[in-house]
Amino acid sequence: MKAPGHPVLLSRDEDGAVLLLALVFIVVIAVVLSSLLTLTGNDLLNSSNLRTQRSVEYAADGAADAAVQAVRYSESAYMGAPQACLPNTPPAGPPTSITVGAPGSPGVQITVDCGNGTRSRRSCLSRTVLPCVTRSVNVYACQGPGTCTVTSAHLQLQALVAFDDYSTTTNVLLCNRTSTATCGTGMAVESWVVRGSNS
Amino acid sequence: MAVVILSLSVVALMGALITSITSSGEQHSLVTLDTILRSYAETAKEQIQLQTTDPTFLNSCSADAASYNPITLPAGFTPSGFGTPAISSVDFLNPTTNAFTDDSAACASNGDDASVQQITVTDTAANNVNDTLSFVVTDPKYIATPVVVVSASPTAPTLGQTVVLTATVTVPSGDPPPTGAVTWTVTGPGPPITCGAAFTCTLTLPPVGSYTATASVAKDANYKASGPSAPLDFAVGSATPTVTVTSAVSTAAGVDTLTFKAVVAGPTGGPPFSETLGWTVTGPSGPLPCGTGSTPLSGTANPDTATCAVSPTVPTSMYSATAAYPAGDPNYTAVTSTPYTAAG
Repeated sequence: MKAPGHPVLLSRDEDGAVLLLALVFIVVIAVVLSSLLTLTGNDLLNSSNLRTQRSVEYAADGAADAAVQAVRYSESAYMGAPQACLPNTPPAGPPTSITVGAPGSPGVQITVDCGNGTRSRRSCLSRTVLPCVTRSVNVYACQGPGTCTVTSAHLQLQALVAFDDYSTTTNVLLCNRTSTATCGTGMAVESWVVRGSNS
Repeated sequence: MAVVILSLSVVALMGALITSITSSGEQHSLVTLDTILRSYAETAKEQIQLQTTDPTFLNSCSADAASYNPITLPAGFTPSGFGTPAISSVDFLNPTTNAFTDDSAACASNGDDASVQQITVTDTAANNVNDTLSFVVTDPKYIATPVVVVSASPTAPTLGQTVVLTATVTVPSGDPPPTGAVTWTVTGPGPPITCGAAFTCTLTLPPVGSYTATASVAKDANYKASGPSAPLDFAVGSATPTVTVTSAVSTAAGVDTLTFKAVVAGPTGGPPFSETLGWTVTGPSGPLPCGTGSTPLSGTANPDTATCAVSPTVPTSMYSATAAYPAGDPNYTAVTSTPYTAAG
């Protein structure tokens, strides 16, 4: 029983402070966790993007390589608008695109077109100066279907390749796509620009 | 309650941290693996496409990882903590789907071309992160459109001549000749013409008429399939027979008969003669007709014989005879013998 005239002593335990600390702790943890999860998510996404971008880039690289090899032994300078130039695999004829990817994976569809090429026979009449460039061909590799040009949204790679079409045996310009000795006896990659990574 | 919250928080924190660390490690491994695989791919492309010693490009549907492994790598190529990369599969471009397939049986059967191949390389890091990379290699002898050309020898054959058709695929100087089977399509008069799988097709005694020949050459270990060629049109023309006149004198019942004999011969094995031989016999008193005892060409033989019997009007005189094989026979051209002179 309380004595009259004396102040009442209230009970002051630490429940409120603990609750506050817990709340602060939870908020801090939540913020840290959120950041960590974002970071982790980004890490995982980056890993996936790295694999994807690398696959696309190398698929474009390989498809362009194949096209360059096909163009090398043809007499065409692809002087007009870009057109299909991948290897001509019988009986279907030259495809516009090929799908590159490890077995079991969906692969990456790459369209390769060649165009805007030039011929320069004047500098090669005597073939006294090497290299002798008779053709320069632009090779465009895009991800996905459709015509691939320098302005394509999915342009992955643009290469400019120069060819020497003087025969190794007769030393004359006799490119007739019947043999590797008459067309593309020399080749130089003048530029090889990978655009996918920066776009 | 607080203990539960704290525990959950710690677990979440630890989980997130571990995941982040793992992802970071995976990224680190991926980046390193990427560098390793790119370097390996460039090395492999260089060795497969450009060098003359193994592993060289194998233009065959039987090409597989073993065909190209191992790629020669410089010492210290692989950093510690990472395995040595290796080719894990070789795929062929399917011209129908324009995708690569590792089905070598389909490659061999459905017209796939082994001159364009996709090679996949794999490598694994110590933290079990593995990565693959696919790149494309092309037969260094690849020709966009190899051309097979058919030629005939002789170029303008005539009846009785053997015609040799030759399929030619031009290859680089010093390279081995193509060895793929040749499929011939030769059309012309007479029964169907069959040729073997060789690069030459011999037509023995082809009949007179127009012919068309094309050839396709199957792929082999070095070269892709080519053809069909542009059609070669040629004609076997008619032959010029030889007509040789001789004579004999016979006497019967006191009457002399001068018989001229003409032998008409075409090429050995050639068809018989369908036209009638014409005679011109001239004596001292003028032309003489062929009389009793004369025989025409049989029309069933080659060489064939015809005779012209005349009765000399002036004994001991000279008689001249020529035999002419007329135009009209599709197999033989007109020809006249040299004059033959005999005493009647």
